[in-house]
Amino acid sequence: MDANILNQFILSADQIFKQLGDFHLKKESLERLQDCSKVKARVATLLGLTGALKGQVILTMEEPLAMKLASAILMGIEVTEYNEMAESGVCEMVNMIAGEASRRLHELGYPCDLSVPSIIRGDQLEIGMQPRIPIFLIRFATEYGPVQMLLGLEVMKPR
Amino acid sequence: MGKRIMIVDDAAVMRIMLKQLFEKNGFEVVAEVSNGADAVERYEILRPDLVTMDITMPDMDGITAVKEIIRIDPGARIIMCSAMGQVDKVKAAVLAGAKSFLVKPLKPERVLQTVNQVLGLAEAPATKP
Repeated sequence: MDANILNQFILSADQIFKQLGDFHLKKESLERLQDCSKVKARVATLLGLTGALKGQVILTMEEPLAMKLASAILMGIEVTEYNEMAESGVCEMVNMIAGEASRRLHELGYPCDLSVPSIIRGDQLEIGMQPRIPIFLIRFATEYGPVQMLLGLEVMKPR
Repeated sequence: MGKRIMIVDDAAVMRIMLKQLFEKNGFEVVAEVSNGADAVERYEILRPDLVTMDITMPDMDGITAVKEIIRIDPGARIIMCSAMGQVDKVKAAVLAGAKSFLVKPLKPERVLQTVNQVLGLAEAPATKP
């Protein structure tokens, strides 16, 4: 896969975290996975891409960051427990990151549509994807805990 | 009473944020709806002065909902509020009948400026966002 495609997701994540205010997203690593079985998380939100790129974007984090993000979106209403509002905030984060990435990818000749995001939570989630498509794991750090972005994408249409 | 607004977004966090913003600034939020199909149904009953509309939603997407609402009321004032700001989405929304387009994350001052402009309560900004 063209590295420029991956870069659009990294740049979009950085931009959206910055736009929300007091978050500093630092990219720590990027690796290609053979499968996702080693990716563990407590909160994961999933969103599908269709069009010139097909696959999934998954964002994982822990509850404290989820609550901080929901509070930032709510602009003044503090979310102090992990509840439906925190989950809605996490879903909106993946929606905004993938939305900004799809805007950038459209300009590069890869028009995509997004699905409605969904969320899963558990003490020890293990995330899997179809091994036939390239899977990339990008790890970020923030002052409120780690963020992982999993991209399982295949190019459906050349530019 | 202020102008009546209906908020359409599948994300609860966005509905609450917008509701708080509008009510603090003198608007009345007459409905909060989480999908396009409900938005069309509620619009027909409530006839709000303005609608904020997400695009990606279950059951019926926002652009289809705009088309349906404009079919019911060609004068409907609808502002799209979406995470997808690519040119084709903006064009599709405007062709469907939306009056303006805001890209998430939403900035409160920009939302209020656009709402006032679409409602005819303020002049259009001199420059584009």
